[in-house]
Amino acid sequence: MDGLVNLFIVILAGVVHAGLQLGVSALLLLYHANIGKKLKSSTKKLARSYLLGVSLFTALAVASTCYFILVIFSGSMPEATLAILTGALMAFAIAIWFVYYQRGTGTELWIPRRFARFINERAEQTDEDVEAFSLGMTMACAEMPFAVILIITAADAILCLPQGMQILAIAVYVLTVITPMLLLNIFIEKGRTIVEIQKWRVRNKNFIKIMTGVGFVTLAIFLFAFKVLKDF
Amino acid sequence: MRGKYSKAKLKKEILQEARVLGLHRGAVELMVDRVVDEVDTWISARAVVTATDLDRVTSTKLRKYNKDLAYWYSNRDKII
Repeated sequence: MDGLVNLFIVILAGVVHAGLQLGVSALLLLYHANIGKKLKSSTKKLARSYLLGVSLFTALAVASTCYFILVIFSGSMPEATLAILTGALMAFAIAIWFVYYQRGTGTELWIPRRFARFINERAEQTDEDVEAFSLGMTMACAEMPFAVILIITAADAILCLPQGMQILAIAVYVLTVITPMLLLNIFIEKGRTIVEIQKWRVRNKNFIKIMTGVGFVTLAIFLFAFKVLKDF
Repeated sequence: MRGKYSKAKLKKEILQEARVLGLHRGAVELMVDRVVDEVDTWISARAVVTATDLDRVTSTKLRKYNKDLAYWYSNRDKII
């Protein structure tokens, strides 16, 4: 039962992380800068390198967080720390609802406009696989202010799993996080234009925002019920 | 449009966005020429024009010919 609970926490944290939009936005910008300019196969290769960058950074972030928790707490987190984590998740849900997206007609995010312009320029200048890989890593890193709490939650749950399952759980987390980007790749390969995708994102912006926030709240409640209150 | 306005620059920018949408250059060139002319006429009647005004007017003129291109042109800076 404990194993299932922890695996569910990892997956739920991954799903909520997947709701964060910085990675998808930058991938769309990468497509915008390269579709029509380069061969389809080159654009596909760049997108693949970008995904690899996001995956590697996320995997490293989860693995190192596991290590930090192990060193600091000599195992998984105690109930008091988990209770604080629950409160923080609730606070992040509010931040997602009110801060994550900027007001307006597009899908502009919380990041400073200068940084957004920098990402735009970087996407336009990305010609090599290694640049796309670095852009992917940068975007995964830039998402950290909102994703770090999810990574801590997932890392703590991963530590409670049997050793053989831990690497598999990290892989599941990473795969869940990159699912929206994988879907974006598939849609573009199937012939959808980036305009159709952006229109969909704009139409569903509020829904994604609400659901991501609800995801944070659900994770907090689940964590509180199954980890903090379990011994009471 | 970023930087100083020029007809050639505006045309290049619209053609670039048309290419992103997979529109054939030959097919859009005539339309883009018309749009650029219309925008240029609009600009010449004014002393000062901001980049936002220019984007808005270009997008309005584009909408007559291609809605997707107009949408993308006015929203291309609002993705991230």
